[in-house]
Amino acid sequence: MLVPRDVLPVRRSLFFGLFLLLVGVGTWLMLEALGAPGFGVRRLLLLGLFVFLFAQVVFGGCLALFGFLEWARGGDAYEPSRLLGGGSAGGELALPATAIVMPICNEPVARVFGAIRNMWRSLAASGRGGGFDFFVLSDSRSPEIWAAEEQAWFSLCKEEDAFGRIFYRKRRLSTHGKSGNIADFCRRWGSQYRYMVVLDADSVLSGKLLAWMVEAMEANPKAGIIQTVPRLVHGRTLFRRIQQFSASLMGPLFAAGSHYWHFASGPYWGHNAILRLAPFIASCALPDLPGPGRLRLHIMSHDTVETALMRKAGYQAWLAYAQEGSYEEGPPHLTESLGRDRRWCQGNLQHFWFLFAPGLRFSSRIHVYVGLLSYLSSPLWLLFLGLTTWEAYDVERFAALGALVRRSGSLADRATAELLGLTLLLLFLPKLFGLIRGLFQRKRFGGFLRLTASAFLELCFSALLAPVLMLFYSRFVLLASLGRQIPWRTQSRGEAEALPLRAVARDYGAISLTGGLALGLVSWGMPFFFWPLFPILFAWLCAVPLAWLTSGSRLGDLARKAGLFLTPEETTPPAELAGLDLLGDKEGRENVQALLSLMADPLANALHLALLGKRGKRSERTREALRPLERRLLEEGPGALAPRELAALLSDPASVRSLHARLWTQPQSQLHPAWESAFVPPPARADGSRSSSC
Amino acid sequence: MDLPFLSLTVEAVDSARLPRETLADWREAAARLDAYLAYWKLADPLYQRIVGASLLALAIREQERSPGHPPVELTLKLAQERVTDWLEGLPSASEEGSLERAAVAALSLARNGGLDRWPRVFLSPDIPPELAQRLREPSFQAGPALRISHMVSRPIDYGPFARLAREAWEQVGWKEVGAILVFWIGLFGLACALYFLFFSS
Repeated sequence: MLVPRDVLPVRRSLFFGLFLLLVGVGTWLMLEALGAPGFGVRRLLLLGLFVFLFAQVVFGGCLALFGFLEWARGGDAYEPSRLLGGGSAGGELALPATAIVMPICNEPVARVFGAIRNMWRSLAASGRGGGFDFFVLSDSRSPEIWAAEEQAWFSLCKEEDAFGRIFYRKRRLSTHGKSGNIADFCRRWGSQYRYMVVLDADSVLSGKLLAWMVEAMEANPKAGIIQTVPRLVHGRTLFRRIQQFSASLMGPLFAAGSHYWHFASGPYWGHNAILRLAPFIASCALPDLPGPGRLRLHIMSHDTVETALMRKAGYQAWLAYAQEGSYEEGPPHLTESLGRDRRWCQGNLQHFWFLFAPGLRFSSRIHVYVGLLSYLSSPLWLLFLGLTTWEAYDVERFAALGALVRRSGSLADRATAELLGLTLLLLFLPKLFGLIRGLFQRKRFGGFLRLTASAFLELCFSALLAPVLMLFYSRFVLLASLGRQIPWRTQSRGEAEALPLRAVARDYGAISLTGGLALGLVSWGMPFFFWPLFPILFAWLCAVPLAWLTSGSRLGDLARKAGLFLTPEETTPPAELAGLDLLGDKEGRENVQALLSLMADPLANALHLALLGKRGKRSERTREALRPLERRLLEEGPGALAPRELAALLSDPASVRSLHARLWTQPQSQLHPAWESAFVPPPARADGSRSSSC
Repeated sequence: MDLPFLSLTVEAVDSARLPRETLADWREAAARLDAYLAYWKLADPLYQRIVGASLLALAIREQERSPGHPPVELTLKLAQERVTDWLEGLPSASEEGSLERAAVAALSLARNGGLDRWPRVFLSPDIPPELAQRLREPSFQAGPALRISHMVSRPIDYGPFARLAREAWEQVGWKEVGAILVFWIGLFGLACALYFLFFSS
């Protein structure tokens, strides 16, 4: 590799040296603040918790600091796009076979295939699309979405003349979620490709970036993974707009700081990344987690483990954070974000076992540890909060009784103030650095005033959000520790309407109530500790309005109109994202129409049969069981069947044929009214164009 | 255009003496047939109407021969049979006699825009050579040819904690856990009792 041997040890020494120094200073100040005499179990516990929590704050601060320093220097000389680029001289050589895989499960169909169309066109425009094949790997359980996916795939292939280059596969048995879907792809077709680009259902990559990723892998045979940093885009709700603004402002600094110390041992986030397939197939099949019988679980968050296994096999993982052209979408509101966090929480906690697995690299253990602590720190923070309040109450009580004379300006008070200052500095430093960086490209963020105002509002929002998240994360950790399983459900991406107030009150009402009661209680019983607790209790009180107001697109649209929370992707929209934000509004209705088409349209029916192929043939006994379902579907309408029953029918070629024939041949009087629209002829064709569901 | 059943049209419609009570059913059959043919989106609407009229005439004749079938069922069954037979007879890359042959042929037609360029080929035995050649090319692939790779998870050594946990799971039963809990709770209770009895003052 082109990197001098001493760069990494020097960087790690500097990074972790500063980290340890700051943690040491914080711990020393905490010791002083607690006061040496009467050091009991509670204080010992407080100190231990503080070290854990403060270390996390320091780690974040160090990431931002080193990222900022790298940015101030004009960029990291060892950033992957500088280090790994320029693989093929002239950049015009044919690229090796690369599969772009998009595992999906009940996702908005138009959005998924719209993104693939945009990437296909972007690759074609770059002139480097020859080696790329696309695979849409569906685990969708909804029959309507299944039908819509097939028809959208055929339309796309026809529109782009991409048959044989864009493939669609629906798994019959959806085992092990996304990682199982990718493993299934690897087993079937993995050996035909040298690289695999993994996408999420909302991912978009530019053709230029895709070509660069392959070139970079070609230039560096030891590179096993190159992860890009996706920019959050297409936010309409206030929640999403703030999140994408925050990520746009501070994300690059954290990524640069992260790359500073891990170098070729970077993270893999499971999407918007390229993998070298041969070592991935050979080394990254996920093992089961330890546990007796039923508790022997499959790994939920596969990406961190796959990186660790890839690194263990001797391959590198790079974080290409400076490359433009990688995009994804965030959750539309707090409730959806928490749903995702709950899954991630369980996944990250499962990684505990890998902390002590022999043979893993130091960096892999750090990634596992940081992932673990990102959720585990919440219950620890809650505990710390409780113990601090108890401690303050005791100190004040003894002072009132005259047992302890409190003097303002004492060593403990000074240490407390210094500690508070240091913590706030470390917490706000990333925001400040992000703002400074943003000011250098202020036009892309809407100008000086708007950027500064947006940064201030984002700071307020995150200050209100963090204590609410702390409570939810604590609950998630508790539930995960008790072994409560969480199904890996599809993330909702719709943002047309705000969350209903009743649902928000149900989900967050208890937190607001707790916040209000605690504020009252503290102001009455512990007025001396009111202001230290105020930021947290006030944030709890605001949980309901915070979740509700940020969940709708009305405030988000207003903010955009006012030029707040603007991101570079909004001020100068990339071509790869064109039109994608408009897709998905009529999703549900179009999916129902697709199911109707599958039954009525001879082409859509033929498409479904051809895709089922020979695999779906059933025994006569199964056919007998399916016949009553066919009759019910026709006579009582699609709503009469459960999705599983409908999916069973659609998985059987004989049933699909029979339903198509019977729908057309049965008189109207014997059919459910829902089928009437099937007999309305499709719109007449305009000359030179062909509008078809297929 | 050469439809083998076209000559029936005039004869069948002329000779049909449809009973008044079946007229509504025949109207439904005609409307249903129109809708079915509309899904094929023939580029020539006139030809689509001719095909429709021919198929309807054929159904009326069949009805005279074997009465008792509802007109909708009879007409659409006939239409579907004709379409399936025609699709299965088209040149195709898929195996002769396979169940998917008609489906693959329909998709090949759609992919190649067969009915856009040659609308009058629909249900006709005469296929233009250019279209025949296109239909013979393998056009429908849901995925590349399979080449199976071996990707199986191997057990991994999770280190001392996992070993301890495994040993606990495998060697300690609920009875032992219960006994240990009872022992420690008893011991703790005894210690508390002793403390409160003798030392608390």
